[in-house]
Formats: sequence, C-alpha cells, structure tokens
Amino acid sequence: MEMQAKIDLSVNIGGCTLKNPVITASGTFGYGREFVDFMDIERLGAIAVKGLTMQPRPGNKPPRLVETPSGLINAIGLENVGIKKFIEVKAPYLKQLDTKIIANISGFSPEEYAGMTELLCEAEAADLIEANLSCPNIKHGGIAFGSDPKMMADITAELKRRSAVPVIVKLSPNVTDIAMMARVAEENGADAVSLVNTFLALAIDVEQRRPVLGNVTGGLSGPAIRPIAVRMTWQVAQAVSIPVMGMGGIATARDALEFLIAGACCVAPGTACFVNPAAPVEVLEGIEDYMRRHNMTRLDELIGSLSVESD
Amino acid sequence: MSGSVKQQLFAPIVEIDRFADGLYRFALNAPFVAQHCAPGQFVNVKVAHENYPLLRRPLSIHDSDGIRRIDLVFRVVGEGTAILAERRVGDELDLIGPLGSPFRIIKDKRALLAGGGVGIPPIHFLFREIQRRELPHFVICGMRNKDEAALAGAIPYETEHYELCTDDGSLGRKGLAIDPLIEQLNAVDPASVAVYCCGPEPMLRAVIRLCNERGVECQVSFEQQMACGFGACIGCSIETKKGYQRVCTEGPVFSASDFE
Ligand SMILES: Cc1cc2nc3c(=O)[nH]c(=O)nc-3n(C[C@H](O)[C@H](O)[C@H](O)COP(=O)(O)OP(=O)(O)OC[C@H]3O[C@@H](n4cnc5c(N)ncnc54)[C@H](O)[C@@H]3O)c2cc1C
Ligand SMILES: Cc1cc2nc3c(=O)[nH]c(=O)nc-3n(C[C@H](O)[C@H](O)[C@H](O)COP(=O)(O)O)c2cc1C
Repeated sequence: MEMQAKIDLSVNIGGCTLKNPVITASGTFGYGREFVDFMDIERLGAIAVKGLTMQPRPGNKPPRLVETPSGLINAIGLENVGIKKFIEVKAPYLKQLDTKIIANISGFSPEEYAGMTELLCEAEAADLIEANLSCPNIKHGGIAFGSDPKMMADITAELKRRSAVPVIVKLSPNVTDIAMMARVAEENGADAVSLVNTFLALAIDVEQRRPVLGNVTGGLSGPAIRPIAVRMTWQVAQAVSIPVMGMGGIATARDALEFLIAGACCVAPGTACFVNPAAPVEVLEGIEDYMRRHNMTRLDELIGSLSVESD
Repeated sequence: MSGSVKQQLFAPIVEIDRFADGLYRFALNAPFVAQHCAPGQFVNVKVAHENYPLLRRPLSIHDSDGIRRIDLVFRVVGEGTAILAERRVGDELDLIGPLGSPFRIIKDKRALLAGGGVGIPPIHFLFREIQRRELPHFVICGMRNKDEAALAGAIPYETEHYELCTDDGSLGRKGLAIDPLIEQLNAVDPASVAVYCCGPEPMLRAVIRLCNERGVECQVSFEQQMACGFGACIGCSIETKKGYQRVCTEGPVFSASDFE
C-alpha cells in the first residue's frame, strides 16, 4: 500500500500558528463550552468567542431572530458579560484548551477598542484579537467604524499600537468597495482581515405591517449569503497580501473549499453551528479528505488556487 | 433524571398517529433522550434535509418510557411543521436533545397542571411523572374541539382529577382552561398548591397574573423563536424581572414570580 503523505494544515496569522484553517465565527460559537457535547473543540484551529464590549450589555429587545429563505436575520445586540467578566470567568477555561483563542471586540468609541485590547493583552486572555468594526461610532453620528475608511484606518493603527498579539480586522460587507476597505486595514498594520460580517437586512410582518425584529433591522447570515461572501473573499484576497479569513454561509467542507480556493487561508462555519453543532469538525475532515484526493500536502496548494483563465 | 447532557442523534420514527386535522403524534426510538429527559424539556428537530427551512424546530417531549421511546406531539402551523408531517414510519429524525430546564416538581404541594393546545405535551409528560410518583394532582387541558382529544394522551380526563375544556364545547366543558383553574384555586389554601402551565402566551400571562396575585407557587413554560436551542446564539431571550433570559437554557420553564 502506498504511504499517505502527511498533510500540513497549519496556518500562520501574524506570527500565531493555527494547527488548521478551521475556526469558528464570533457570536455563533458562544464561549466554546456550549459545544463540548457535540465535538472535540480542541480539534479546531481557533475559536472566536462571542463579541465582547467594554461594559456588559443586556442585548436587544426580543424578538431577536427571524428565519428567511436559507438565512437567518439576527439582532442580538451584542449581549455579553463585558470584557472584565470575560477575562475573570470565561478566559481561564478557554486558555487551557489546546487551540487558539480569538477575542472578538466591539467598541462604541476608538478608546473602547484600545482599552479592551490592553485589558486582554495584560491578562494574556487571547492569542489573537479580532476587531468587529460593524458597530456604530456613537461620537460620530453612529456611522459604523467599518464603513468609513478614515475611522477604520485610525482604529486599526491604534489597535496595532496597543496589542501584543496579532490583530484581525473584521470587514463589514455593507460597503461599496470591500477590497478598498481591506487595503486600508492592511496599510494600517492589520495582521489579517476576516470577512464577511452579516448583511444589514429587514424582515416585515405583512399582516401587522411591522418589522419582525424588536430592533427593526438585523444582520443576515447563513447559506443565503455564501455566494456573495465568496465573491468578496476573492476580491479581497487579490487586493491584499495579509491573510484573509473567510466566512459567510459555510456549512460543509465543500462550502469551505470555495473560500479557500478563492483565497482565504482560514474558514469559519457560523450560523451552520446552530443547526449542526459538529459542523466545524466535519468541515475539517472534509478538507483533509479533499486534499488527500487531490494529492495535496500543504494548504498553500489550495489557497487562492482559483483559475479564471479560459483554457 | 435530568441534567445538562445532550446529544445530536438520529431517531427512527416507530409510530405515527395523525389524530386530528394538522395534529400529529410521532413515537421515536431515541434511548439517549428517553433516559435523560425530564418533563418540560424539548428536542430540536431538523425538519428539512436541505437548507430550507434552515433552523431546527423545537418540540416538547410529550412522553418518555425512560428506556428508549419518546413521543412528540405537534401541530402544523407553517412550512417546517408541514415538512415534518410528511415523514413516514422508519424515517430517521435528526434531533438534538434533551434541551432546556425542566419543571421542578414541588413534592409537598398538590400539583395543579394546566395545558392549552400544543402546550399540552410538556404538561402530559409532567402528569405521567407525577402519577408515577403518586403525588396528589389535578390536570386541566384546553383544546379547540373533541377531535383534538388525543392531545391529552394518557390523561384520563373523564375522571374526577381531570377537567377537559374545548373552545366549542364539543367535549368536556366549554371555555378556557383558566376557568377551572380559578375554581381549583378558590377551593384551596394558596400555600398548599403549585401550578404548572404551558400553552399559548395569553394563557401563560393570565395564569402568571392569577398566581402572582394569590401568592401561588407557579411554573410556566414559554416559547420563543430559537436558532440553536442550546444556549449559544442568545437569540431566544425573553424579558423577565431578572433581565433577558434564554428560553432554551434558563427556560423554557420559568417561575411565574420572574414576571410582572
Ligand atoms: C420550547 C418549545 C417547545 C415547543 N413544543 C411544541 C410542541 O410540543 N408541539 C408543537 O406543536 N409546537 C411546539 N412548539 C412550537 C413549535 O416549535 C413551532 O410551532 C414551530 O417551530 C413552527 O415551525 P414552522 O416552520 O411550522 O412555522 P413557522 O414558519 O416558523 O411559523 C409559521 C407561522 O406560525 C406561527 N407560529 C409559530 N409557532 C407557533 C405556535 N407554537 N403556535 C401557533 N403558531 C405558531 C408563526 O408566528 C408564523 O406566523 C414549541 C416551541 C418551543 C420554543
Ligand atoms: C447570532 C449571531 C451573532 C453574531 N455575533 C457576532 C459578534 O458578536 N461579533 C462579530 O464580529 N460577528 C458576529 N456575527 C457574525 C458572524 O461571526 C459571521 O461573520 C456571519 O454570521 C457570517 O457567517 P455565517 O453566514 O456562517 O453565519 C454573528 C452572527 C450571528 C448569526
């Protein structure tokens, strides 16, 4: 029998090595522990935890969820325990896991992003920091940080100054030119970009002529957004040379392969984890299987291998 | 009996009973759930093989033999439940369970159980447990009409510890389940009984108000749209006096005193 060549699945993000490219999407994997009955979470390359804010947040008025064709609109409102309690109560468990921890942070001012980064680094509570820039800047008319190039530049540069660990900038798809936004993040020192966050959406109860969600609008995720997320990942991967972490509707290895082939070096099943909580491990096994079938031994052979030339 | 153990599993359907228009009882072979569930808990069922509908549908456990079999009872109200209703005996259901916090049985108080419509399943399972433990009880079920009588399952509603109400009076007493509940409460010392209720939200709200006013210990089981069912998405929260609480984890069973 032929010897199987060992497959190297490791990925380097700004000096931090993930053992494989399968991670989780923030807000869809709780604080990790919720999933231990369904899979061995230490098999994952990294776990991105639920979005954190400086102060604890109660979250939005219900209803917070509505299902749409092959999608989910959520307006959770960043309900979380706050950064201090995260460091005290949740981080010790996460720290002892044999996987990397991505702390996902959301701020309502540049100072909050900076403050949270310092607290996380002091406590050594995360291996990577992911800045969710889809939050409104309260001081500047509530425009999302991630939809304004100047604000994105400032926050990215500030985070890089404060952070002792690699910084990932999470891109909002609710912009005209996502590749341009990715370049802004790169120019200001981001170690990686992740995309996509959810698409701003609205569902209407036609009988009542009222919004279904308590928050009126929400973010659309799930299989419905996947082709758009793949296109955006492809555009961003061509525009920057830092690692691109892909997400948006990934439920199976086949879905994840689209993102890898488009140029992502990591893939994160998100909403899929609600339906099939073992999805991340199934995605990992499927990627390995694919590489074996295609005689690939390194992830590089797969990443960005999309050929658009006509034969 | 209960605990935080849960699994994702495939459970073959062993029996299907379509007992009224749009009402179904599925018996499943699901030993893990049967052995670990308690009244008030639910399973989250994947209804479609494809991505639509995407999310699982939560269904209460109507009965468990404690060994291998569980029963689910559901009403077709939309696309998800309509797809579920097309399943045949022998098909496997992809489900996660058991989920949620069960009813806490108060041993030294007479149990007053009230279920309305497809809120009856968890009340039925609770009745079975209370009956097994030979605790004093009275059970009230409310439903649309006589065709839905099988919602009450093994509850011997024609005997003295039971009352069945229908909206149209075609079986039992005509009217809402809350009326016999008020009569029961009128007849006893409020400190001697505990109320357990599941049903449509207006029924829950009425029962909460009634029990809180009279100082009666009461537990109610709520419903809310949910994405995961196991505490990760924080999407199924409802407003309580303690702040937002997840129906899937802190609930579905809450104490009436958590509400105004
Ligand atoms: C913890 C829990 C336990 C539950 N247990 C049971 C059970 O044992 N048996 C059962 O039949 N149902 C039960 N439900 C309700 C059940 O989950 C929903 O009826 C189901 O998810 C609807 O899915 P659908 O795709 O058919 O309808 P959707 O397409 O989601 O909804 C269709 C329409 O029906 C309405 N609707 C949704 N839920 C209900 C409802 N419960 N009653 C009436 N209208 C509704 C919606 O608002 C919408 O207008 C439970 C819910 C929860 C949260
Ligand atoms: C319920 C829910 C909560 C989310 N919370 C966060 C969050 O706190 N921070 C963040 O950066 N992204 C959050 N997201 C976005 C996801 O991380 C992901 O970018 C998006 O859902 C697309 O992936 P998917 O289609 O696989 O879910 C959330 C998504 C969902 C569905």
